[in-house]
Amino acid sequence: MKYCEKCKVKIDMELTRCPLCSAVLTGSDGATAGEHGTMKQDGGEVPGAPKDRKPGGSSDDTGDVSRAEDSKYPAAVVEAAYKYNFVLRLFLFISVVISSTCLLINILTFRGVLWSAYVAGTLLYVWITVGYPVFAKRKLGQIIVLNTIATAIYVYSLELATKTQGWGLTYVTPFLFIASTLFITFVILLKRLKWREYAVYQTILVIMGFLPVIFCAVGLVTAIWPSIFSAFYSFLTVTGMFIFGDKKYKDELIKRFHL
Amino acid sequence: MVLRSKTYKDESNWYKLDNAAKIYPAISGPGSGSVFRVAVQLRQDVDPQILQEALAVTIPRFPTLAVKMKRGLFWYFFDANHETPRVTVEKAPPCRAVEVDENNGFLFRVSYFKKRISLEIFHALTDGTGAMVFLKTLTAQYLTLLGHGLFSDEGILDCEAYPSISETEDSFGKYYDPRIKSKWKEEKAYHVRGTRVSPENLGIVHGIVPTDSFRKLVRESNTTVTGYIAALIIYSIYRTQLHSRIYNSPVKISIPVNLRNYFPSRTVRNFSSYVNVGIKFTGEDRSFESILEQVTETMKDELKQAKLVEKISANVNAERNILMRIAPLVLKNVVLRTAYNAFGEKLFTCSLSNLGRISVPEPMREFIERFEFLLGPPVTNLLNSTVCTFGETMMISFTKVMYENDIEKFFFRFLAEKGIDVTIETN
Repeated sequence: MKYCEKCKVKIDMELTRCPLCSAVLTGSDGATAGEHGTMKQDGGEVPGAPKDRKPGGSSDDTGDVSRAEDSKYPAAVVEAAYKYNFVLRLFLFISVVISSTCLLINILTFRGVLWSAYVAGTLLYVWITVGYPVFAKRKLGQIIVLNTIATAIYVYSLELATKTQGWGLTYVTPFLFIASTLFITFVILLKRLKWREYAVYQTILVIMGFLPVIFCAVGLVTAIWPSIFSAFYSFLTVTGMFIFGDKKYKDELIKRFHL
Repeated sequence: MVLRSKTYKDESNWYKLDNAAKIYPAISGPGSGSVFRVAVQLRQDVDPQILQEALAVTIPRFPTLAVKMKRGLFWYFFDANHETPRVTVEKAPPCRAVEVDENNGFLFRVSYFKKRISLEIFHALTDGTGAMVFLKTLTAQYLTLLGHGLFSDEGILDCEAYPSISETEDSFGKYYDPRIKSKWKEEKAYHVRGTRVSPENLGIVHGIVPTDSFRKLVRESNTTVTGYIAALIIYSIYRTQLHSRIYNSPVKISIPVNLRNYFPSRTVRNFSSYVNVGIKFTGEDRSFESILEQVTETMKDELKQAKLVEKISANVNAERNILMRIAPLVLKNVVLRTAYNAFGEKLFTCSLSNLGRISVPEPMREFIERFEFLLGPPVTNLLNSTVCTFGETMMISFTKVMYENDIEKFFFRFLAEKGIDVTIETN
């Protein structure tokens, strides 16, 4: 046991200096034996911190668990979780360059149409549907639900912006909902073991499938049959889920949708 | 290779996050995983194979810990995890975030290093007391498998028995008062100044003091162990950082309170609240004795059951607010994270968590050197502290994400001057 005359405390480690005040320690045992093992300690830093180690070199070497006989903590360091994502930043920067350049040109040569909003809106749409799932590593079910919602909103915005009502909400949206629901049904059939997870997304899509009927009711659409078809397909899907999923489907819904 | 005493294949085994747990998934990221550690230092090197077997036998007994976290549309929830958790060799830094894919989806990490068995656990699962029940049961099972006989009592659960409902209950929901609404109004606290280091460079300073002589010192001052240490931390910060200067924000210590001592709960999930004890320095010199007196007084006042009920009721009622409930999880996370960043750690300078005296059955005592308790890196603060007592060993530990060590130096030198025999360990 070493001793620090200044702090009046004992030090239960083979150090040459006091970890509190850096004064040279007194004490007989192992004054030189622990020397090389403790040199790194005096810097006040955790030895073997990621910056002075080669990446990947530290995570698996279980042999390197102690740096000295008496150390109380392992030296093997897990790599820092934070990573600088250059590709993400590059795409982000390119997006900002494109949309701001367009805005600038648009303002300087303004002829009554704010066309740069289309560019910015489309870029945002691509970020939500492709960028976010890729960089945030989302799950397939989440991506499908997110893309369905984003596409429906994007299509409707286009419809409004171009004043060409009668295609988006009437035809694209209902068939988009049907396609997404059908897609998840196939995923469930293929990934049987993970059906619970997808059942949740399926349920969200089924609920969304009934929305076109509401659009009908408030007179937003020009033809009724696609909306009715979407609602009917949702009805068939949810019935199938209850029949084939049995009590497990109900249990899963209670878990996932508890308030 | 792994044994399982019994397996719960009950598919409907799932839990809502308890009231205290709900904040943690929202505020946790790679930098701060809301993870704390309880550890036991044995007298002999740990045998990882036996420890793995012990873990496999112990985990089914703790259904609220044998879970993975899943996302619902409105809330996270814990779903039964039928895999077996793995024992790993300890790696630095301690209390780092538990990754989802790291341990078969379990939200804790059981590791060994020389003579130490560490349990690092996500705070959403349980608090210090609950984690200690698990660690003690695991240790008892480990010693039993080594051939040292059977152990029971002193909080050790029987791995053959079926878990009781009282162990898996959300006690917040049981003991709150629906009429008390929240009135969160608290002053922001002084913040320790220092050079922040990344959480990978987490610094740990343990001061080991003899329990008896420390308790004698505490008794002479007419206070409690927690009160004394809280006052001394405040005094250390005052003397090293703001001596004879005026600060409008008080130096506040946040002290978690084990509510099982105030309500008849036996839950192995979260059941703790906290009291914030603060002192405002207005320019005139303050002696340690005057700080100690004020801290002791405030703690006595705050630690009344009525006040604690008020605190937990405010939280439970906020959680049960209909607007809060129907908000989608994504939105909730944003709200909770923003609220935590705005208040959360800003309301205190340093936390001090005292796990108290750890008891084990008498026959088990000879195999155990000591218990340890550590908090993970704070999010906006720089320093936090823990106390854990086993027999004659009281460990006062500081976890910090700063280079400077003036506060700990002052703290332990002060104790040494009072005639306490302090032994220091660091990482």
